[in-house]
Amino acid sequence: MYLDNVYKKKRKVNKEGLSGLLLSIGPVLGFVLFGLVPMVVAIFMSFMDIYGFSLEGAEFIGLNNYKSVLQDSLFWKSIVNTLYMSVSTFINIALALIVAFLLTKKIRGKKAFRTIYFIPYVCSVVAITVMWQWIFNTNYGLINGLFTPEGKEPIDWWGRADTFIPCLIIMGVWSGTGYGIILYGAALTNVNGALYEAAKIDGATPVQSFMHVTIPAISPTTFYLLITGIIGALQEFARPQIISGSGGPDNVGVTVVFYLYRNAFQYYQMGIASATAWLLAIIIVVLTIFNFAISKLWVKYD
Amino acid sequence: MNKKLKNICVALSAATMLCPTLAACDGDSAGGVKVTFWANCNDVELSVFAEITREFNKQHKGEITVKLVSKPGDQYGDTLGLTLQGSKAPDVFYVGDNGYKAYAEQGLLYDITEFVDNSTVYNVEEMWDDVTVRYKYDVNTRLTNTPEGRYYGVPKDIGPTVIYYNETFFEGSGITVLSVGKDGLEAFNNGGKDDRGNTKADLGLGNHTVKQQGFFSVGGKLYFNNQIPMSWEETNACATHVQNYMRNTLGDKNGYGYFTEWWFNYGWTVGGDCIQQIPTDNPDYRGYYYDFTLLDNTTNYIVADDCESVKVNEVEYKAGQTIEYKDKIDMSAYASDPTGNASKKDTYKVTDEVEKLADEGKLNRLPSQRAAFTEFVRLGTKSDVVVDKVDGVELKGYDITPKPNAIGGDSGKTTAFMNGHLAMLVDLRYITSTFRNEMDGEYVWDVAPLPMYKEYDANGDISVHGVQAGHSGSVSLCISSKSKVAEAAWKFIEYCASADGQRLQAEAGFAIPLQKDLANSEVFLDGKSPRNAKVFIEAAQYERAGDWWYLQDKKWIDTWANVLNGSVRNGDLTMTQFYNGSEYTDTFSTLLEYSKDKRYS
Amino acid sequence: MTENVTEVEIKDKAKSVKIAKIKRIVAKVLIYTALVIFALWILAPFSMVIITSFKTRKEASDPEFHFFPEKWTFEGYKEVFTYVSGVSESEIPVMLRGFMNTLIIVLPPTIIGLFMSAMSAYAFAKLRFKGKNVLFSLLLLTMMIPGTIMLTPSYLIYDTLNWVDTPLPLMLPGMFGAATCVFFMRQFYSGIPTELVEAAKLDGMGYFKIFWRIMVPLSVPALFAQGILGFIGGYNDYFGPYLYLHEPNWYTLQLALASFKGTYSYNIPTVMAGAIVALIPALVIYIVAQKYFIEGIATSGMKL
Repeated sequence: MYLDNVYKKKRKVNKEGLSGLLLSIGPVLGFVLFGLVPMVVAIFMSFMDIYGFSLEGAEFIGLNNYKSVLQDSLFWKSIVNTLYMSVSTFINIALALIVAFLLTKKIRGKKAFRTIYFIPYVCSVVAITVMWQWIFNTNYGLINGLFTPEGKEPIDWWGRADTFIPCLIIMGVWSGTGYGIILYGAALTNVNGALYEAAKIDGATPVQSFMHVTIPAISPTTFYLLITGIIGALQEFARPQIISGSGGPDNVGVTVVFYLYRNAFQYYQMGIASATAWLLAIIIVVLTIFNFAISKLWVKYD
Repeated sequence: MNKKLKNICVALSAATMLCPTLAACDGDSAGGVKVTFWANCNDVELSVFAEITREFNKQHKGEITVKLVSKPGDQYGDTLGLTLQGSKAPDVFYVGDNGYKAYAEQGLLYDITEFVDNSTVYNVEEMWDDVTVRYKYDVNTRLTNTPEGRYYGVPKDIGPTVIYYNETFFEGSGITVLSVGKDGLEAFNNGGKDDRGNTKADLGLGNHTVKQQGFFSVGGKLYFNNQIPMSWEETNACATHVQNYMRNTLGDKNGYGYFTEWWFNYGWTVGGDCIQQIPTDNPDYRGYYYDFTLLDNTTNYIVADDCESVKVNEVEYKAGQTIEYKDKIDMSAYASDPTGNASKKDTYKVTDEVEKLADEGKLNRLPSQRAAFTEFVRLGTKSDVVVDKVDGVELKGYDITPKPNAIGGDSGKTTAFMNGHLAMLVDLRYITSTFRNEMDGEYVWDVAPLPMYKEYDANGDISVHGVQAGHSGSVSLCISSKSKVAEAAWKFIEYCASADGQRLQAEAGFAIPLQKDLANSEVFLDGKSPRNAKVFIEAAQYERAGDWWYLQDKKWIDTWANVLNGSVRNGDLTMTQFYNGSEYTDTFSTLLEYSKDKRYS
Repeated sequence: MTENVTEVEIKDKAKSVKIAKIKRIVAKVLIYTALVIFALWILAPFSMVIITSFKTRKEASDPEFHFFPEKWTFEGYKEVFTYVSGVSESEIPVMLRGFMNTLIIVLPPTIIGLFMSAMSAYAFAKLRFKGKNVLFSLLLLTMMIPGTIMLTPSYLIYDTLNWVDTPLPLMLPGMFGAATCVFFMRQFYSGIPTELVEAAKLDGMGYFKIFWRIMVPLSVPALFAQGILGFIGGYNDYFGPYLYLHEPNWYTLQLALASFKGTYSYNIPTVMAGAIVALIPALVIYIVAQKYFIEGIATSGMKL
């Protein structure tokens, strides 16, 4: 009897293990087949001096590519630019929370509002970027067309180093809040009502209960938005590249991935490009681990 | 809920089923060798190449079939290299003069020198010098037009830059346009007609002797001669005049008098350039390296017109030629180890020999490259912004040009001109077809030569002048080094370059023929707008490739160009600050990599 | 006395009720105002694009700004639906063919990939097996490496496989599932009580059957949401098709749009009309399915 049980249990675990492996293996296999080889090649390339796209004639040069990337002031500028642009992630989260909170109130047309807010998420980045490029155009743009005072010089939004990134941030906020609103919407309705009651009994004002009940209760969603948002923001490329293919005034449009792309496809320096990619990957992984570490301090799971 | 979902799914999958029938209905009818041809162009050009392809296929029926594939978009240049590395590369394809050297060095292009040399159709001697030279390249020394140079491509066409101007606005603002070239001036002054059939009397010029001036006033009346290059001052005066008319009379508060995207015309007319080749015996380099001279402060020199020829640094120069950097500068100041050159950029001196020749009057002094470049930057800067301070004198902006970023790329400047928000636009030939379609009937427009450095004496005669200069665009047709049908591919390229192919391209308006004779013939000067089309022909004689063609890639340009087009042209940085900034000084070390035996190691 | 007190109390109460009511109305008005302003902020740029697409070329680039066109024109839309690129021998308008090609190329990987991802997510959420954490971390890692760097090696690998110039590089990798989708669906399945799985096991159901019979029906909205996101991602992809599709008959909608834009680059209204036409299918799919879509995203209660 006892033996029988052990046997059964063992078999069961085995079966579960095998099934688990089989069922889960699809995406992993896809990665191994289509991602792993290119990735390994990219690691190799980062240690080689390569001109063009062929490994023929490439030479192993150790860490030299990493050295020259780290010594390039434009690389550091690209990191600063990328971080500056990622400000929109935080604005998105705050704005999404506010709008989602308002949507929990008893009002009509909730669905219509949510539908509208989500529309930008459906549109192609290219189309959105071209649209905003036009909106901020100096001479024919909507903003200057509407808001330039008589006799004043129109502002050159995309041509000034100090307005280029803020315009990108506005664009990012416009297109990025919808997703957060929907996630927060769900999280807010799932907040335990008893917590609000308890806060009310303790004499908390609505603001206090929002700060001390709502925000901690939805912190897992905030954390999710933060992590995915930062990973996405650090890989920013398409938008600044579409607006200024050359890298923007004073190079403020050069993000890390832009820097990488330019080295790979315009300067034919695959070694430099690969080294940049791995440096960026390291930054992202470190930041993510750091985020997970400090999340214990502020993210409250039930 | 599930029902609705199901319906959607069914509808979608039904759509999928239907599609293959639509997608797979192209059959190959013609036989023979197949040649794939990728064109990266707009539809006007595409339809011309469709016709060329059709005609070629007809002539080579059963022998060669060319398949034309349209590859539009900005990503073309970025992805072509990768495609060429793979096995699915096209046989014939466009390569802009900016990407040509890099592909050649990577071994992606077929060496077609033999084809070119043995061709009876493709005759280099008949063509514009500079545009064929552009594609003769030695991948080992990384030098152009040396005897060892090979052809990896041949020009598809040549597209010179000129000034497009809105004649409706010129006339509206009270400027009378005349059209008479340098050689026709004497006859015109003696009562002859200009190219539009007007005499001096018709134009109200009375007894005035018309000089080699592009923009001038006679008895309070303004005149614009669209065959004589304007001087810098004339360009500014003309632009300001028309701009005031557009803003004050037409009420277009965003109207501008002039726009040029490129500084080449300003720097080159005085004999300056942004980089200079310095010979060296340092074994790390291939016998030379590049120094960054965009803001070189030394005076430039040109051989005086009345001095037939003069020897400078043992090199013979003829009248009207500018003295090259390596011959005017005391090169002993250049060290054999150039790594610290950025800090020495102020120390170079013109040789005593040159100074002496100038004092003797054999050489005329011209502005430095820096002065020319400053002039270019001043065009777009506001009139209250100090661009630079030279010897205590503040050089402020002219405010006659919209900022490059404000105008928003290629289509921005074109749209601005088409819609009457720009009076003069410096642009390439290819845009002519667009202006014909969009402007004819609404505005009268024509073309004029690019500005040139000139000083006049009290009589209005030229005392000192620079050279006529500017850049022309060119795209080459290349064959993939992996192509298995190179000979058939070459036959097609030959056909494109032949008189038939060139005539079709020229008629559509986007290019001028490669052959000088053809360009001067009726085919090209056929009465379609612009009337003054021979300006293009003249420009093709002296115009050359832009700085993007100098080296294999434009890494050395990207860094400083964005600061120039950003803070400097916005007026937030003076030229001196730019000159001392890290983006400027970093360029020196970036440039050194290009002539090292092993790059980036 | 007592009566008096009650009267005062009632009066006070009525007053406070009234104040509360006014407060509530004011709050409502404020909320509606905020939400409407936010909606306008989202819609305004779109409306500008739509309005501009009906303007004439000249008016669209007129610095004197008018909201409504002085003269409405449908030229741009006419161009979109009749545009036949100079090389195509087929009579089918380029945009229509592009749309069809997009469906062929994007739908199969979306549907099959969704199935694979969901299955994988279920295993990661509910089953215990060796190497589970390693495999999952590996998937997470793929999200953190900039895809741009794999472009060159991937292209050359597909080229060796002879897949370039076919839709395969755009279709096959997606059919194995996507890390983001696995990540999302795992969250969803983690929220389903494990007892349900245990009970099914006791009934003798196999692990795949549990997934197919219990998990999938429970997760239809979430699957739908992911499917739509995946489809829209593929629908909007430009660079991939540009790199891999050389045969014009295979050009997707975004490629068709690019060549359309290139042709009419000086005609802003026509370009805008093209962009709108390209946007409409994605928008229609989203609006038709948005009920499940929002529900699907919402119910997964994203947590890490």
